[in-house]
Amino acid sequence: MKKQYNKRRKKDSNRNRFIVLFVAIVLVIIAIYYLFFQGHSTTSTGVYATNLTYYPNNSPITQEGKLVFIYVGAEYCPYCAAERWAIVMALSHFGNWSNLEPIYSAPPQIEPNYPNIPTYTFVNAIYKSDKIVFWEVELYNRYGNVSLQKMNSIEQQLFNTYDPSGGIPFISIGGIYFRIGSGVSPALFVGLSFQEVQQQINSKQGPIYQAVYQESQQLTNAILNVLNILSGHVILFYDNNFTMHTAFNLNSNKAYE
Amino acid sequence: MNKLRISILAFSIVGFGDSAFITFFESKALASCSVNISLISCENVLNTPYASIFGIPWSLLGMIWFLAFLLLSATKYDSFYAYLTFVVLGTSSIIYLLYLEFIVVGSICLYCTVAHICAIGIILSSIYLIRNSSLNKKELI
Repeated sequence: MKKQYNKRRKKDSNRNRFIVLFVAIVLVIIAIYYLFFQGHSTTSTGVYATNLTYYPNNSPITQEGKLVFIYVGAEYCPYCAAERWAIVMALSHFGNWSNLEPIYSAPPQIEPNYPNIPTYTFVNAIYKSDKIVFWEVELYNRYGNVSLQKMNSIEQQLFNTYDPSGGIPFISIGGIYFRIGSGVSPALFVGLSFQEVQQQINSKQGPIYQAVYQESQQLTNAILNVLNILSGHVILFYDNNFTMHTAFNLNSNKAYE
Repeated sequence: MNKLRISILAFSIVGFGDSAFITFFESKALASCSVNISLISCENVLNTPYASIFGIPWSLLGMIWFLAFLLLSATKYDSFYAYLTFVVLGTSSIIYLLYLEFIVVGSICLYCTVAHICAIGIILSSIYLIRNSSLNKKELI
């Protein structure tokens, strides 16, 4: 009788221990995930919150004294499609675009999740600036079956070093800031035409404008910080978490918005 | 019997670690496409809306599932219904996830595959444990 009672007590104790530990650890895991990591994935507005990665000890990459902005992507890639809007917006503050041709990313039979994202292609695009040189590589066409452009040796070296998993889009801002992946979610663009997206961006309203603007701000801030380094006005900063106000003050006479 | 428990424990630890890696490190960096358009691509799998269910990542649910078996074996809580519940949940989820990977998305993620292998190991060990032991069917959670 006593033996049975002890056995029963031991089982109860095991059950309680299991339930308490299980509930406690599950709560901790969920809390950690939602407090610290959820912002990095897709949110309800579809904006990716991942920041640029900052390598303060790298030497700036320049060409004839100008900052080298590198973009590696592909026409089929919906993430590249979303990111290009932000790149165009950010670089417009420092120079002029021409020959930007509208395209759509991969169709549904190739990309079932985010098909036909309206965007520009950089293949024939020309960017002129007295501060920045734009190196672009569109690796494949819209269907992913034709190679369009190849990386040069510097681009390849940076890509291999900072993006070993081979994710695109890959962005390098002067070899000091890097982005792997998009800061704008392609989910926002699904089902929209090129004109509809352009209208939203021109009207400066709506979720697409907000997401593209936010990402272009990040890119602009990073560019400003590298330009500050190049111009010799090195200022102390820890990351790319500058507000636009700070960036504006640093550059004194031009608002980038 | 102890060997079965040890194998469940071992698979649970590996599966839990793998799921945690996907949840906290791998999936957060992936807002990108893969340059290599191939069958094996975590980017293709983890960037799709199918990587989560009702807004909860499958990898997070996987962590909780592996944790359940880790604790079941570590605490020696021999509950028939606890094992049965988690085996049924795990089996149905794996069948659905494999369907998503192979049929819907058309790519497989190696990290996910490691978790699937661990889960299958746990399920088989658990079925063997349920069939060949005196797991207390009166234990309910």
